[in-house]
Amino acid sequence: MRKFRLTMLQGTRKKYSNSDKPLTDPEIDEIAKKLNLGRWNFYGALYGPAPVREVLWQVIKQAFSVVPGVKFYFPEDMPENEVLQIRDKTLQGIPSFSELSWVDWLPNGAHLFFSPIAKVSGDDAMAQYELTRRRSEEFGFDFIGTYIVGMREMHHIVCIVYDRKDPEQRRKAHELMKVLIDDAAKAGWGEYRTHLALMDQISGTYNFNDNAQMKLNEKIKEALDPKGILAPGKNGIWPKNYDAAAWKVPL
Amino acid sequence: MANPGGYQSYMIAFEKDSDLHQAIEIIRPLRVAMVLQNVPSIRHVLMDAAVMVGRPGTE
Repeated sequence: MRKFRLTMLQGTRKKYSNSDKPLTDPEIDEIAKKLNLGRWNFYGALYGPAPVREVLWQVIKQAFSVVPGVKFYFPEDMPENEVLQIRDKTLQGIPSFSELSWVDWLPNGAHLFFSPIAKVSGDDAMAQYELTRRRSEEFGFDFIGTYIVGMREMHHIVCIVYDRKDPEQRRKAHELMKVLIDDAAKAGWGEYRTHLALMDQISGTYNFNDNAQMKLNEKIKEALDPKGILAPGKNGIWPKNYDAAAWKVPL
Repeated sequence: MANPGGYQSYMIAFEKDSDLHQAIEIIRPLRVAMVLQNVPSIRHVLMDAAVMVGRPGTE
């Protein structure tokens, strides 16, 4: 337990590296090897009676077996893999706080989520990964991210972890978000959620067709909430009696 | 959630960084066919490394 607390204070990254630069591919490979993980790790679950699970598992295993070096695990195969143990609970509806502990990667760890939607396609996944990793590293951050796969789209969640007591890191994390929002918009990608400080910028990227959506949003806002009482500025929708520029979070 | 009559979670590990492309191409038809029954995730190794750092009971 003492060791646990020490690791938390220093940031868990220290356990892997003393470098203050973003981790390189050889360093990341080394970490993967040490933890018996892949560079990407896919977590899923089978639901239903045994014969149903068995047939689904056969199809899944066969489909992925074409990838050279792929490995398949059940939680009981990897008692030391804490993430798999956590996912085993999460995917049956049992939440935990420990699954969010990646935020302790750095001391005083805090995060911003950059969350673009992606097509369920290899090209789009690679393009978003390439962009978000490259930009993260430019600003001095490691890439920490996941693709959450829906039926027709993926939520790509990039966890920008920074030291909240370090003003320089706070500024860089904020700036990185701004750059990523613009880069993504140029590539045709939009975000599905964000921090309050970035809502104006993101809503501005949904301005196609002569900003029709925001014009509609503002009309509805004015009709339903003319005094601007309800969540002024939420999702970039400002009441008329507010000056949006005056509420901008400075960099 | 209610017990659906049985449950088995799993992890599939992809060795190379560039395997993401092929993995997603395999996932898409499986997801559409509902062979993948839940909302699965494919996570970068550092996200897991950041969690697996010798918390109590893990070393």
